Amino acid sequence: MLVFLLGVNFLFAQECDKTLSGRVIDFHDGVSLEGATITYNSTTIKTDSNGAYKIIGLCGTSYAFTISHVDCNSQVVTIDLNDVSKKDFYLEHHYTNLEEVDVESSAQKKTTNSQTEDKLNRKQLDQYSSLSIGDALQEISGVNSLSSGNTIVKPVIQGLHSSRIIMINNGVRQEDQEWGEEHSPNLDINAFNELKVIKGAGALQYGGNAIGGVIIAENKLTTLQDTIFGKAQLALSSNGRGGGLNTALNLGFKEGWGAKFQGTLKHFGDSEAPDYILSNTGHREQSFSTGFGYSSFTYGFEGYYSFYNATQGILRASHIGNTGDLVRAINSSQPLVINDFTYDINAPKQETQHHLAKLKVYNRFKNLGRLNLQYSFQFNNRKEFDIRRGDDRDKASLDLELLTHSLEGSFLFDSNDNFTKNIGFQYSYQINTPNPDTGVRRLIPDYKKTNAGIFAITEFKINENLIADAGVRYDFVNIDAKKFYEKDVWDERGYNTEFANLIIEDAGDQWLTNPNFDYSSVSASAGINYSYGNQNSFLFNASYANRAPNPVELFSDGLHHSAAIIELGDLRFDQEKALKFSISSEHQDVFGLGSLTVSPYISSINDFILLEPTGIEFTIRGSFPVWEYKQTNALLYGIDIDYGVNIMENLKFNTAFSYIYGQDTTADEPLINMPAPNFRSELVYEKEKWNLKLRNNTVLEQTRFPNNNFDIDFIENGVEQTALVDISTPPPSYTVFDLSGTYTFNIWNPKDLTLGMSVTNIFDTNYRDYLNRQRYYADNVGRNFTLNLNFKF
Amino acid sequence: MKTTINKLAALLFLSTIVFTSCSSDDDNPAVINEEETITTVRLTVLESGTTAPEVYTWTESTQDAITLSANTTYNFKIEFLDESNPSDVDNITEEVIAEKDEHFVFYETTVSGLSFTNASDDTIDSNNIGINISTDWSSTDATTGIVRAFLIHEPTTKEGDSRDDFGGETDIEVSFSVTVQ
Repeated sequence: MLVFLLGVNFLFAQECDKTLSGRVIDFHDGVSLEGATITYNSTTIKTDSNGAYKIIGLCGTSYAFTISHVDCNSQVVTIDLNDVSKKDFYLEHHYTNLEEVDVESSAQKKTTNSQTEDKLNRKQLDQYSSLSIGDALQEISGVNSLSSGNTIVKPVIQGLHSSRIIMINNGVRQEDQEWGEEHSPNLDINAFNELKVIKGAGALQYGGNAIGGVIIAENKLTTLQDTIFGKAQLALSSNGRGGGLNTALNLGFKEGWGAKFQGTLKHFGDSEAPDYILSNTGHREQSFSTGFGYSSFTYGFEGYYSFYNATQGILRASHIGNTGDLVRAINSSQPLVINDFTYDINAPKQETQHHLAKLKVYNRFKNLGRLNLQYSFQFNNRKEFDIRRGDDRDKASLDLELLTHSLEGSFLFDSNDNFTKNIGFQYSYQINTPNPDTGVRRLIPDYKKTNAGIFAITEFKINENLIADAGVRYDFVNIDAKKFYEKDVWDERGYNTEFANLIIEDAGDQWLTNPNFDYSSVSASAGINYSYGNQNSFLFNASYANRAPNPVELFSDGLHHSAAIIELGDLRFDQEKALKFSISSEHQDVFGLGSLTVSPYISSINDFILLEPTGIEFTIRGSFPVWEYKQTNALLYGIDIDYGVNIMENLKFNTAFSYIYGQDTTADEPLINMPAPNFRSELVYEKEKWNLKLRNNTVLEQTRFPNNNFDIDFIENGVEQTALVDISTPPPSYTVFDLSGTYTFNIWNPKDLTLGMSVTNIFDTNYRDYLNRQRYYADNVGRNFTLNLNFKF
Repeated sequence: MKTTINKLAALLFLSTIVFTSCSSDDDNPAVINEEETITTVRLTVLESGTTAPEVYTWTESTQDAITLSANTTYNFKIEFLDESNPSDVDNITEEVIAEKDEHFVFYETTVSGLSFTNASDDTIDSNNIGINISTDWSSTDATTGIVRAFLIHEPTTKEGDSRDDFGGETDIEVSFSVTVQ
């Protein structure tokens, strides 16, 4: 009351002759805003063509001004006219374009300008909720999967995989022992709203060594609106007699705060091929993630934590002792071990855990751009269990702990829409610790790895139709390892003459060595994006990237049990150097006959690291082929084609085709494990609440493969004989049909319940896939009915 | 806010340095001498009616050749040893016998007329099947050839005539050259 009286008194004492003037400016690019409104009490004035305003006749007191502009969030500013007579207001004009702010618009946006990109949204991912990221990504043309059975599935982008691909898990580069062919990404598909694939090395902000491409998995916080929404999804499958349950909750507040929580449980028993149980192929997964943060136009932060825990059984029949066992497995029409269905998972199996925590902050500077800083922590534990004897029975044969700290920062200069620049750095420090309690010599040694990179990327609009981009990156990698070598292997490899100085300790029949290697690499990318006519675009990109050899390629020196081969790495390896050209021609409507995207590419990789057989070694366990990592030159080219057409009002046909040619140009023979030409087609009927989909996946026989066959001796009817072991010839072509349907109900809210049913492999077709490492032992999974309940709230 | 951001950034840098320095110990990893390794297969061959057995060993560096007399019977006892540490030799045969249900020894031979059966002192598993730790052999005419010994882990069956019949994983597969004279 006293204050009020004083205020009135104050008012009476003042003459109302104050003025306030200034401009209303777009915070983002410094441009003056014409037609912005400034409202106080009941008066409204507008800015002129220069964004300027002048208000006269104000009293000497405090006023609350509301400043507004079309497409902007209004701002309320209180100004005491006794102190201020000039004031510029900054409005957040490009609000919807800013990735921190709006989930929808960023989902539409490409990550790179000129690279071939594809993505899967939440709705597409929902169909794969009880499967893996590798399964879902096969929807994208040019992306295949390298699998070890039906649960260990890793993505292959245009023929390349493992260390040649970077996976970005909510802004953090995933570090989960990705070098292994039988290691699938340790992340839960339900933790993400969107998966994006960049088919090439051009996204330099993520890393310089992604010569195969980048997979970006994201789930953004929802903020700046008061909301609470979530979902619960249950999928039950007949094959594996199990299911997955996942739930997500998102909270958003208008003030900018947001939080999310998501969790997944999966429980499956043995899968079934058409003719038999695939014994010991059950899997379990328990994952959750949670995040919170604050975002406004000018600044924000986000904290995120995710945990992944999985146990995956490995087909019992694929565990073999030596090549004789392999031959018996190949010659047998069905797996040599078939037990009754069970939910139990015994050795051989994998247990993997992944923790990821990150903290990210950003701040936007007037007329300049945005600064991002992020720290992340990852801890990965991988345990692999083989069938063992005696006291070691329950011990893991491989037990790796990988700890990664990363710090990264970038500054995006985006004040000028026509010429954006992004510069940044990434620093990571990694410690790999193999647990010595396994009692098995370490496949991967103890090592510390430091990675430091800096990059600069720019995008500039040449004219309305043409946007060009260019980027350059420098990376420094140091690997400091402590590795035991058996003395005879050390000498055999010729390391005794070349690397004698690496020996730091004599440990009986082994040397302890300290390989400490530096790699520096330069990556670069440039391209154009030209749009023309009625939604047509033409993309061209050239990229050059290096990849330092990974720990297996450098340090392998013994029997790889699951493959029954002796693998030998090489300390002398240099980096891979990859040059890739890609084109993408995208048309929304070709002569009224539908949409078409044609994306050819060619890539030349010097010092390409691959495994190739070099001989047979006779051990007390029998004979084993010896495979050595070699550096060679490789040429890959191929094409991905996507076509879609509306046949009728509610009926759409989509098809995708991809072809890859991979050649070892030094040895003049085809590269191993190149995906066979394949078609993925679907007929989609969508009307009101119905969605019906018939899908076909046809994979042709891979006719281009290297001959890695070898001879084996065996005794038959008292006579010693020799037989050729054909491990090279790919399986024949196959075609598989899937049918799925969903119906959407309105229970409490529109479209809040979706009931779905699907049958995969309708005809229970027997087939084997070239990129399934278990193709020697068993058929792929047979028919599977899945019931899907998806409730949104 | 800018100062808050700066503080946060400083904190991030600091934490990395702390983490980095904490973990930079220079302890060398412990050497692993594989315990389950079998380095040696030893055959103790006793001609029936005699008391002094011949011992033949197979290691990756040396393989003894077996000499038998024609038309004679012998007892073969097989042993699996870990001699990677010569001062602490491990007899893995004991483990095999302890896990007799999961193990099976089998021989294949190219020596014509040479055949084997379970010996009376063989290890019998819980299904009453001898696992061929101890076997009786009989030779016929003079000839040469090889005897291949297998130690099979978790065979799908213990009944059969050739290695192919048993399935399972091969833990051991070694060949001895044999002369029957």
